[in-house]
Amino acid sequence: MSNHSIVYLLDDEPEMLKALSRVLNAHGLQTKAFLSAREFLAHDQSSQPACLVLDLAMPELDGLEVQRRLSHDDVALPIVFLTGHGDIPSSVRAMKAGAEDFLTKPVDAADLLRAVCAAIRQSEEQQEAVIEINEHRAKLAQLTPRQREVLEYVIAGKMNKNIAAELGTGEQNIKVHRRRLIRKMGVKSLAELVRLAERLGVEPAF
Amino acid sequence: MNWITTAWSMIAGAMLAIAGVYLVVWLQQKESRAYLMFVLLAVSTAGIAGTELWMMHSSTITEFGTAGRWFHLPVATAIFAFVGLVYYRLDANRVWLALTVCGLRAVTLIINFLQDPNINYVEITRLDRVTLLGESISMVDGVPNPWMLVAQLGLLLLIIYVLDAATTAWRRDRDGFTLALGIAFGVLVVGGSVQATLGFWEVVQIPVFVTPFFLGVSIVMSVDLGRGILRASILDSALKSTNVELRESEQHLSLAAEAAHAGLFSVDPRTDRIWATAKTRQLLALESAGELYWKGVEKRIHADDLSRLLQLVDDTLRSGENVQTDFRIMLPDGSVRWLSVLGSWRSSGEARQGMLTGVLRDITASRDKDNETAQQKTQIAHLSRVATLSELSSSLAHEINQPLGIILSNAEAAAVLLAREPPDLDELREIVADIISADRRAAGVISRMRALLRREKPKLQETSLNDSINDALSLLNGEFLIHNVSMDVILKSDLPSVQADNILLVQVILNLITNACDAVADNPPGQRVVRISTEANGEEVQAKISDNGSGLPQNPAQVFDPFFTTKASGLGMGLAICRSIIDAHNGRIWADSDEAGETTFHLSLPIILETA
Repeated sequence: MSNHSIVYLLDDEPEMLKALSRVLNAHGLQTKAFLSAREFLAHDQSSQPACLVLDLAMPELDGLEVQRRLSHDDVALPIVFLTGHGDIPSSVRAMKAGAEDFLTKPVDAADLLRAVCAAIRQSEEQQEAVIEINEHRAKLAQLTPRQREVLEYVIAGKMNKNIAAELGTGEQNIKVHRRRLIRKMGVKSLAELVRLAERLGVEPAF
Repeated sequence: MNWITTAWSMIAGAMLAIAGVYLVVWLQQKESRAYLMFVLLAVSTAGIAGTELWMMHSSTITEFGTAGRWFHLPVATAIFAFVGLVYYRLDANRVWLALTVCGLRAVTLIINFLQDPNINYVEITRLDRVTLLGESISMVDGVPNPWMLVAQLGLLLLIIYVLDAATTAWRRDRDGFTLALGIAFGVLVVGGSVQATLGFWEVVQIPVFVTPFFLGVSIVMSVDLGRGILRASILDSALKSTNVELRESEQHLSLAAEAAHAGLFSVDPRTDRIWATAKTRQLLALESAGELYWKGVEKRIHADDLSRLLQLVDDTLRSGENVQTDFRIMLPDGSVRWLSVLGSWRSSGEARQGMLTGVLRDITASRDKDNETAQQKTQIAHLSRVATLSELSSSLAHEINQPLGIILSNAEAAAVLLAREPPDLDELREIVADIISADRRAAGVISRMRALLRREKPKLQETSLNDSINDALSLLNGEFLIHNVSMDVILKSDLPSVQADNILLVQVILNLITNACDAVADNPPGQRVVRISTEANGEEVQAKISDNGSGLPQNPAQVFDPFFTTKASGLGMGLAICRSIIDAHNGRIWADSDEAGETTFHLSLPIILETA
């Protein structure tokens, strides 16, 4: 686990926030505590790996609502729920909506640490994936419009001569485009190119 | 034209005809002796008319004497009949007078036949032919017979007898017709006697005819008796039309009963014979025709309800009050139906004499619905009880878990910090302070919760523990039946009242009964017994709720601890709440079990002390 990760704590009780911060800090985790959902949602998300320890029952916006809003804003933040009484319908809803874990108070430090670490690892993986995809996006952006067009035909499984006919040019021409775009995208095989294009959301031209 | 002969003959004929008619009437109503007397009177009157005609037409002194002798026979029978008529018709009460009159007349008759020529004359000296109403008839002169005084004494007594009977009847009945009858009798008997006596002693020169007087008596009598017959025939036709109306109203009643799907019946408890409408027979699945006795109905009644029903019928026969109850019947195909009966006892005065009539209705469907409703009600009561408890325990859990969480996390953080070298004592001090404050907070939650539970101050009022138990049982209506739990309830009557909040008390009892039913649920059917009893015990009233179910833990007091439960889905709050309620009533609640494995929950509440 990288030591530049951060654990956000959201609970309407200052004493609880202080206690959770202490126990996580004591185990070497960086924390940032918020007393209200509004305060948390308003703060700028850092780019470092992070997770949220979220109290289920809070006045105004409760934990589930916070989870819904984060997901609505496409914020990929693993959530560990913490609740005074584990009522089954709430926990089911939370887990279905993608919660990392669901813990009941009083929570053992060991359980809390395990859940938080898992959530942070999840966050790191998500961030790594984001970094990787961003690199690929940058490569995709380097393609000329013609190369991009050819890519769409290639991943649709068309032969060079068919592509040439579709685009009204020579087969030789297409072969050059194809070679160049494969080099630019940094893939070794056609299969890899198809997979990457799919991840980047390139639509095949059928 | 021979007017006398014609008239007398017609009188005799008419009298015989009337006698014939009334003879027929008497033969049909033999208990009405007045008719018999009248027949005798009418025949006698005919006889008198005949013998008088004989005398009037006698051509010799000897023949006249003979006719005169025979004349006394119908006169005697006429007087007997007349005395009898007065006796029966006017309810004369001087029997001795009647017997004396009859006796004297009998003596007169005997003397008459011993004398020659008869009791009227010692000797007839002359026979004259005189003209009366244009007809020549015989009249005689002779030496009057002194024995005639006996006859006339009899006549005098007859007059007294009749007048006495007439006035007594009038005083008693105040009935106009009786008065008229009495006057008519009086006038005729006095008139006849005076005429005969005066004529006999030749005070005035008149022929002695008694026929018209007896004719008068007969006419008066026939009017009177005819009136009776007329009244009877009016009554008869009224009865007939009443019968028609009765039949109609019976039909209407049957129609109404039919429409209400109700059967009608009546039972004569002396003979056990039952009259029942077709619907009743159908409801009881009995043969549609034929004689019906209680025995035949009894076999249909469900064994569990029979003794109760018989007891109710017995009570009704004694008290005369209406009876209404529901009971089960078992049909030949084995199915059970619920019937509702409403009966009333029409006593004819004496014990067990009369008719038990009633209406019978099949209420199986509505009963099922009632059961369903009651069940739903119970379920709702149960659910809301559970909901309240679970809400309570869940908010309790939240309130407690929050400070517990703070304490735990702080303590664990402290443990880590303490392991560091050097430990951050300032931080540790802060942590300990936070732990203490969180701990205090948890304690505060508990005491607040207690205060909350206590806040529901029971509304104490005079309450009967028996009523509360009955309320709880009615709330449970049917539930234990469905689970085949047999419930023995023995509530001591005249139990002193207690100060209690009935709603809370019912909640406690309901909880205890439900627990008992749950405890026996694993017993085989037929061995699930719950017993409820009450008694007064010194300054307390006690209720015991016992079951032969799954028993108690080693330490029975434990069952009253919050969150102690043996049920898979139980919260363990029921008995804890029961105890807090009973505590609030200054009562006691405890549990024990005996060697036989019977578990008993005891409930004890202080009796209200009489304030002088």
